[in-house]
Amino acid sequence: MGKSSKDKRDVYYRMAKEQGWRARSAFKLMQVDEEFNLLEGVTKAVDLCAAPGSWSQVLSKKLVKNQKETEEAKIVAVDLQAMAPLPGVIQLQGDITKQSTADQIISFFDGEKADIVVCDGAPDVTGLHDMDEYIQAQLLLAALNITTHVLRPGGSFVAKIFRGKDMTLLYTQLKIFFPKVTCSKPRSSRNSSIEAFIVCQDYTPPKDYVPNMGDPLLDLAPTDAQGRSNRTIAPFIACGDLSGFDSDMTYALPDSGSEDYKVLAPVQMPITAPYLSAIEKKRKGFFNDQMSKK
Amino acid sequence: MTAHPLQRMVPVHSTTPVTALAYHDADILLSGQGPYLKAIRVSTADTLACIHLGGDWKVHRIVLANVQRIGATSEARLFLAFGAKSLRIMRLTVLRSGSGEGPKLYFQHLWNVPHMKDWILDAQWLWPKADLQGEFPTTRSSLNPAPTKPPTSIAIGYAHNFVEVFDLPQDPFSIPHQQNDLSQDDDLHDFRLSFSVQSEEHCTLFCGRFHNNTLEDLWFASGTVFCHALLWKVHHGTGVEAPVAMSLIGHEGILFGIRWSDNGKAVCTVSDDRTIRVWDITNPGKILHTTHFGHTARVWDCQIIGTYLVSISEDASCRVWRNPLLTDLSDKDDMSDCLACWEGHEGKSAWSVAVSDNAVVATGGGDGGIHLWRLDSIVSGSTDAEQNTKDIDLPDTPTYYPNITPQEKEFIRDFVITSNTQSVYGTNTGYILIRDDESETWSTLYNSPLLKNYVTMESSRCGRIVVAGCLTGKLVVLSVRNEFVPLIADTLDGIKIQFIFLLDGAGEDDFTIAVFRANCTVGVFRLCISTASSTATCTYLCDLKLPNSNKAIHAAFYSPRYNLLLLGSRSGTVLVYNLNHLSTVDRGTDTERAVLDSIVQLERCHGLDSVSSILMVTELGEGFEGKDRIIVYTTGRDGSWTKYRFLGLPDGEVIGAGTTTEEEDDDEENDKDDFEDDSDVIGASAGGDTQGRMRSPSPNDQENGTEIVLQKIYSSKITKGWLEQVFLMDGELLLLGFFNKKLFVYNESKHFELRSFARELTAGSELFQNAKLQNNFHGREVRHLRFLGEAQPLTEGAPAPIITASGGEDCRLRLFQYIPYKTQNSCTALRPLCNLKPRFGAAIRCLEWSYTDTAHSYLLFTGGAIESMRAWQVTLSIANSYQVQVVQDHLGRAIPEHTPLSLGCLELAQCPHASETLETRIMDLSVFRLAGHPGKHFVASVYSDGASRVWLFDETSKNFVLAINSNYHNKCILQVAHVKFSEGGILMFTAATDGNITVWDLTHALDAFLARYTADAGARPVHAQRPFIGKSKKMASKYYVQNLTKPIAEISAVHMSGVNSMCVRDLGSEGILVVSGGDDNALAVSLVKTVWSPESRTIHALSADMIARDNNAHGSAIQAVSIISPSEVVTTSQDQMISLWRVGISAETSAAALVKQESQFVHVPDPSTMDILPASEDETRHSVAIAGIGVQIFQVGP
Repeated sequence: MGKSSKDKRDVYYRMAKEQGWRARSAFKLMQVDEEFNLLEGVTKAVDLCAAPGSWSQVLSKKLVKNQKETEEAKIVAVDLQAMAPLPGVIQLQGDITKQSTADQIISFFDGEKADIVVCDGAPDVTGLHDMDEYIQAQLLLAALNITTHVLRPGGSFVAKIFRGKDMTLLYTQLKIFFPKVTCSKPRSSRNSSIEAFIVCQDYTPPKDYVPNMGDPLLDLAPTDAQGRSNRTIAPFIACGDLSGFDSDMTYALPDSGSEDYKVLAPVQMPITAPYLSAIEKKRKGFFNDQMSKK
Repeated sequence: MTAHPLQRMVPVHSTTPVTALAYHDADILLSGQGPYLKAIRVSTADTLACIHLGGDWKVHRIVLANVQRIGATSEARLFLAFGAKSLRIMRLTVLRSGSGEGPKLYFQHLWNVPHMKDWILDAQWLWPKADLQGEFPTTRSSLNPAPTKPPTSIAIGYAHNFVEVFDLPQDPFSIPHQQNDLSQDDDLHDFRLSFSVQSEEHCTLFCGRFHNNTLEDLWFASGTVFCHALLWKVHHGTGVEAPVAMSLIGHEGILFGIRWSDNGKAVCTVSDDRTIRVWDITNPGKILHTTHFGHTARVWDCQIIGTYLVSISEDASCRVWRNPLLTDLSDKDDMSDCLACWEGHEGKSAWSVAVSDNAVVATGGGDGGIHLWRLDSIVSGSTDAEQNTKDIDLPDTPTYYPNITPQEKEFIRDFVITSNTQSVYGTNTGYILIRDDESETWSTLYNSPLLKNYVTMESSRCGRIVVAGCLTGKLVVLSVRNEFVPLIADTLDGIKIQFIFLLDGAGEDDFTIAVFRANCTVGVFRLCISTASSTATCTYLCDLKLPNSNKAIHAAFYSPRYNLLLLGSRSGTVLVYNLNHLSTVDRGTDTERAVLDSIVQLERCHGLDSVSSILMVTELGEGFEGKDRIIVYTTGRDGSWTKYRFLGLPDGEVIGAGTTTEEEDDDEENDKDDFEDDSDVIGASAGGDTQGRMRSPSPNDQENGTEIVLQKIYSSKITKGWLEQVFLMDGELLLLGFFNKKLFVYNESKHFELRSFARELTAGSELFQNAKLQNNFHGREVRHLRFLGEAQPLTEGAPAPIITASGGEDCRLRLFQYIPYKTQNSCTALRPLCNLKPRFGAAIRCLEWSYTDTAHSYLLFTGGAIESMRAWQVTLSIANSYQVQVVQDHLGRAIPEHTPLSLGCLELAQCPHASETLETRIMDLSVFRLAGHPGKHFVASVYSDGASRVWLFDETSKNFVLAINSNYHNKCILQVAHVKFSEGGILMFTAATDGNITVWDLTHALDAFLARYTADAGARPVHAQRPFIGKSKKMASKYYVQNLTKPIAEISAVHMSGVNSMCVRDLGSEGILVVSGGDDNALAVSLVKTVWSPESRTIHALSADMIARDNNAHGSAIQAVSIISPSEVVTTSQDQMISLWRVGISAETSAAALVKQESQFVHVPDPSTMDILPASEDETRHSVAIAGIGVQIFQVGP
């Protein structure tokens, strides 16, 4: 699919390029923030699974406004992969399941803790839905685990979730640490996507809770069909301006011949794919001894 | 699983991805799909046992233990079935009577280990060391030498890289054998956790695999997301955490699968990087590995089986590779020793694979199908031309031509192969020599000065006859077996013969010869052999009239049954000549010569490239309404093959209603025409370039009143090279071609390239009858499914057949017959009828049925991506074997069984575009007819660019005409529904991503449209005069269109965001019930009260209000709602639950109570659509189908 075709299909993709965001997901964090005012007064933030960096961009833009003379805004962005530098963002290449990563993040805050932790990470989906949801939950729990090390009491945590069959399990688990947990779907996230964001506010760890990266937070509740219907369902909020753009709608582009419309290149090219070697071989004709179906 | 006595919703069928396979023995295959565990007999494709494992998990893996012998002929097999965080210990008992009857099987559930700590990646049976002698292979079904004692423990490996060992509470061999359902009240106290260890590497794994069957020797291989494989010993002795003994580093992506070789000296890993790597770990200090490229998507699993590797991938193929461990790994770089690539599954992913002890590979697909392949069909050694070809030199010339002069040069001019061991050569000196290829000896068949300096040869298919063509236009007919004396025949003109086609006739001694002369003319002759008199006679029949543009003929086929001659030309034309018309040919002044004209001329069959072969097949009684189906296949040098249907031949199918069909009949082995993803054409529309036009119809044909037409029904490009030959072998379509200087043979029926066709073709099928062990469903997400609600019985007294239509991301339209309670299990009730992928296919988002006045003829409308909307005609007819049988359903009641029917599906029309943006999607459809307007179907459609439109589909003109247009919504519209009043009043309901429901009165607009349309009988062109600038797409004419600007009512904020599903029902005086399910997890009930004024033909809304809402109806977005009765609603959601709700509307207050009655888990991931069908006369029972990735059907009882 060409870039302009994606422009038509997805208005937020086009707007992200126009406004200089590294990914359309920037709008999701902005719309969640509009609804929950999460970034009000915040000066210290952690962005987990940050690449390509659009959420760090949003944080950077908002936090700069909040900084006071005495207190500079500080954003730590963590990802397994390297990310292009962003002004005002401290970058850390590391694994969020590791104690050392937690320690490094804390060290950047000079003994203080973060006001907010965000995580827009998603695993490679395999197509086996139960497996994908499980892995996504593990990613979120790893983010939660590191959050318990770096978040100040009263702080907030925002993470991507898949609204699949086991979402209520995660909700139960998050409620242990946050009295206020809401499932939120920004309008910039497509209606057809099962992605949503869990917004956890007012961090209140259980008494005597000692953060421990050595022990993964395994999800607690049993999986059985009978118990399913009785589970607590996370309150849902759709956020973003209803009169704003609709991510599912097909918008006509300005006339492609006119000067007003140019097909823009993405702000940040995608991170390398694991199958590059395979693609490279294909280009060199490695597969040509096969019949070469069209 | 037996239904809970109070449960009203009972799951009765499901087809979901096959995620686990294991062979009990060579004839019994265990499969796990969704919650079901099945035992299938490989030889007969019968399902012998099926059990629902309960819970909300699917079977990810089956792990076999040893066999327990019962008496002389029977046995039992313990096994584990696990998925997600659940694990069950099961036993399969196989009772063999020994009387030649098939085995009787049942499953027994021994123990439930319901909630494990973490996601299970692998499980292993453990024995005390003393009970095991020798090696214990972990990957295969045969355990040799098999332990005779029962296992005592199980080890479980988890996704967080730790292992637990549980002791079995009791000797499993001592438990009496009996069939049981799952016991829900398991006592777990005796399941003692005897050992537990965490790997020192704390990480999340995608895969893991045990090796060895004693705790002392147990190893675990972990596949990490950080591209490494870690091997560690479980029982390591010291410390809390087990150290990693070996790290296998090299992959460039996440590891999705890991397996040990049987002896534990090698490990095979597969990854996101699309490679397979085989690691030799014999020397931990120097680990060598090979890398295998070839799969075109992520690889899920690979196992080492003897001399092969067998892998499965997201590309839906199963590949076989040479086992690199058998050679020196140290000098290997990147390898692609791929020996076979088996592509039988549709859509995405082959998820499971098992190899039997006699080398039958079973693969399970994301499409829910199971395919069988034969590993022993792969000849080891490559099929490179150099290795398998041999130069043949003529013997010394004087040995057969003693008087050769020095001026004469001798070489081979042409040759033919007459049998596997014999070939015949024409030489420059006019000799025809026979070579016995086994003894490599030569003999002279014939020689003549006629054949000097030029010869073109052809042999009969039987190999008995060789015909040689001369420079002087003579034909020399020779018997290889000396059955008749050589015959020299004249071909009329004395012009050089360029090609000869020697075609089989009616009897084994009859042949038809077509010669292509150097002056571009074709002569046809009949050759008859008389072995009694040792003579051959060659009779001139006629010349054939060729179109001027044709330079040469490259293919020919003669059909004795119809006396038709088919020719394929170098410039892509297919010509059909009816030799029955010989007597009527006008011979003009030339008394000798007759020139016959073609009855069908079809141009550009393969573009302007050569038609390289033609094959005509008659399937007696297999066509529509029991007529003969006559199929013509062609191949071309454009790399494609085409399938045509011959219509109008005696006893054959005729041109008319519903004649373009593609059936996929699971009962017939030879009709497995799945449509390739890259197919070009299916179900051609009437007329156009897809049909051969009939030229100068003969009086004979006119008498019959039939027209002879060659209708293209399918075409697929297979290669960038040439296709040269098409043939049918054991009912399977094989294609031969060249690419990149290589010869290949492709099995089109099963979709794989024969790497070694000599063996593949002769491989007997004694091991299994049907390579498709289980039929598939869609290979991608299904977006819409609709029952044919008002199907009529095909014969009196029979039940109406239950037909479903479904479409989704795979761009395919599929039709199934649902046969409730077809067998004792609930896994085989969907019978595929048709599988179509239209040209320029687009994902199907929505489809709706409509009804016609013709018996058993229905219309189907599909809509979806790139604004595509099509009308299809679906015609049902009685299959030859139709009979009503009475069977018992699951409650023991006698019900009539639905027996197979025959179905035709014809694409009638494509709707023109109306949106400015090509990417616009059609989100939903609602179809209605109006009294007094027969043959007119109104299709209300809603678009992702915010438009809602009503189209007229006119059965007579087969056109879509834009009737009503509205651009009121400035949001992507998700749902549309309608309610019909008497006297032609129509209400339309639309709902978009903004959560509002809008109500429209269409009556006036429709009246105005119909007045205008009927006034000129729809004479205006349906397409706009001026094509859309810069686009080639056809835009709809807006001549008749009525604009709709203002709704009569709007219910605001019914949902916070998208209204994903909406269902309406007219409750009469109470109003119109609107039930909607939202992306916001909420279920809402609204009531619209209206009044119809007959004078002004308008509908006024009295009120339109939301009267009830449950904000937490589901744990995730609601995907579908259905009203099953005025007081009951069924919903399903992304949370994979189906819920039954009671809606109680209070007459006084118009408020409603919404109460959930019951809920159940749905074993269909990503459920996107639901439909209901009354299953009893009084409509107290309903069938509910939910589809997404797979399909599940529930019965909802009173």
